[in-house]
Amino acid sequence: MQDEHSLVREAQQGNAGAFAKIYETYFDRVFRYVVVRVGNTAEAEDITQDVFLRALDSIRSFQWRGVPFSAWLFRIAHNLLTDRLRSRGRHEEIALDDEMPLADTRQDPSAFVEIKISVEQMLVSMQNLTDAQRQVLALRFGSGLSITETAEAMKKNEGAIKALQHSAVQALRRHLARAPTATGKQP
Amino acid sequence: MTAQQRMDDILNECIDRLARGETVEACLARYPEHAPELRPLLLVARATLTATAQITPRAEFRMAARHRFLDALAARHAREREAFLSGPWLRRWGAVTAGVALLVVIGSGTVAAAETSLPLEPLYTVKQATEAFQVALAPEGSAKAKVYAQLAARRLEEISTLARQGDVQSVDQLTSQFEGHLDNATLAVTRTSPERTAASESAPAPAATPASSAAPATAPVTATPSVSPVQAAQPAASPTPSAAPAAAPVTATPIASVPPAQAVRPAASPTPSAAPAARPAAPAATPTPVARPTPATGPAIRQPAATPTVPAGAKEKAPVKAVKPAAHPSAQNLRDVHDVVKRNAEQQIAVLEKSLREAPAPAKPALERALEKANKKYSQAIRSLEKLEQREQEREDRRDR
Repeated sequence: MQDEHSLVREAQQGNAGAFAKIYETYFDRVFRYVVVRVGNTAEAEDITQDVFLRALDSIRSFQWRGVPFSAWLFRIAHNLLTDRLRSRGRHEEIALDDEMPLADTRQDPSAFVEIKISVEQMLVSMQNLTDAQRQVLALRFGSGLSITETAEAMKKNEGAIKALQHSAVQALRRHLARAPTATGKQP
Repeated sequence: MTAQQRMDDILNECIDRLARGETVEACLARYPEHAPELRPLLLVARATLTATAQITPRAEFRMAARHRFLDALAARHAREREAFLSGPWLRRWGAVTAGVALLVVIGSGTVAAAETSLPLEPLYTVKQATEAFQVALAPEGSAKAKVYAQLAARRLEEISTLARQGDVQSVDQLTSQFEGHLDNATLAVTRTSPERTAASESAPAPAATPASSAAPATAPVTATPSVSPVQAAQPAASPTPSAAPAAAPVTATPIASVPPAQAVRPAASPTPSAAPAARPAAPAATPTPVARPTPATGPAIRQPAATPTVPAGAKEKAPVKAVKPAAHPSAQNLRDVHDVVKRNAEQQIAVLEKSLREAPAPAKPALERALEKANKKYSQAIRSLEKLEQREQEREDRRDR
């Protein structure tokens, strides 16, 4: 099995097939990251596409130097998000839509209510966090990055990321607790 | 280390464990002294992991984004080619040439045009990318096997075309790629078959081929089937909308599969890669479910099964197993793959033999080698598929009785 290092190197050398595999590997993870950050599917779709187009344009400038490729890619996503939000003059606005893609749980209506509410509650509550808290949760929970990769992506040390993660989960808990969950239980 | 830092570490470790499928109670049992403080945080973490795993791109968006990306890949290669061609000796023609080239290449038919491209042509890299997507899109099992079988046939078509043109520069590389594709076709159904252990013994071992010979789309399905977080989070009885034909393949994409990707270099990229390309490995007898590749840098969060938040104190259900194994192919599925491979073998061998008669003399030795390998590899693949099909038929007969 080819490792990510050689795959990235080949993509840098112009191998489109290698880049296509990178794209497939990261597409869903980047999308989830962006959705968690912006809470808006339409905008998340635009930004996700732009992340990969930007990565395609600049992959030759990527140098390993101890930085995981995932950290570099999610930095691009972060920068695009920041630019987008700044250009629109919005930082904490939430625009949840009705078309939020959710897993189909039609066979279990009770589960559908639970999951649908969970996603929306989670996204709404996320908007009450600080940008850094939202970012750490998006990277760790949305995209499945390790603590090391998250630290690289956010340009902080691991200890700071763990502390930030702790405060983010606490803050999320506080906001979730204000609204009853689907099952009527409060975390 | 302060008490706060200690708590940060514990929470972080527990989050990683939850993401790997461990229960909240199991995490709390590791740190009973911190349980009162940890429990509410872990319940939130668990709910958040479950919720985020439910977020998945719309199938239409996924397809549109993929097309846009392929167009961008094509445009990039057009630009590189333009840069190559508009050197000082061609500069005065540059503006016109570049404009025309870009208009031609970026047109709506880029991907379609790439379908007929040959190694060393500018659009061949787009063809490779398209093929990589085809492999990624195909569901595990017989569907993926058929894709690989068609890619194998494509490589032989290219060999025939190139040889008739007297160009044998890429024939050996394409032959190796053909062998890799056909190995992967067999492995794709072997891996998902309940008879995998026995079948893998009879499946053709992937030939050791030069590092530079593996095509991007020869990406073998990894022996350890892995699933995307979204897939991992799907309740077994509740397929997502993306489980519909258009999108299901993507959730089945083996994320951990980072396949050999050394390509035949296009003219615009003269530097050959020295990357060693691993050949497809024979399937492990007992695949280990893995939710996502673990980065070398540390444990990554993996999405847990989508289970509802459990109230404090309640006994948690065991998490849904992260890996949803691909349905093993039925005898009919195996027969379909067998038919495709057999039909391709007949057609492509005939074409190669015809090309051998028509090819200029300097091209004949390379073409003879390709023909010999094609005959051998197709025979192996057909034998393996016949055995698999026979075993599966016997198994189904026993079950019916």
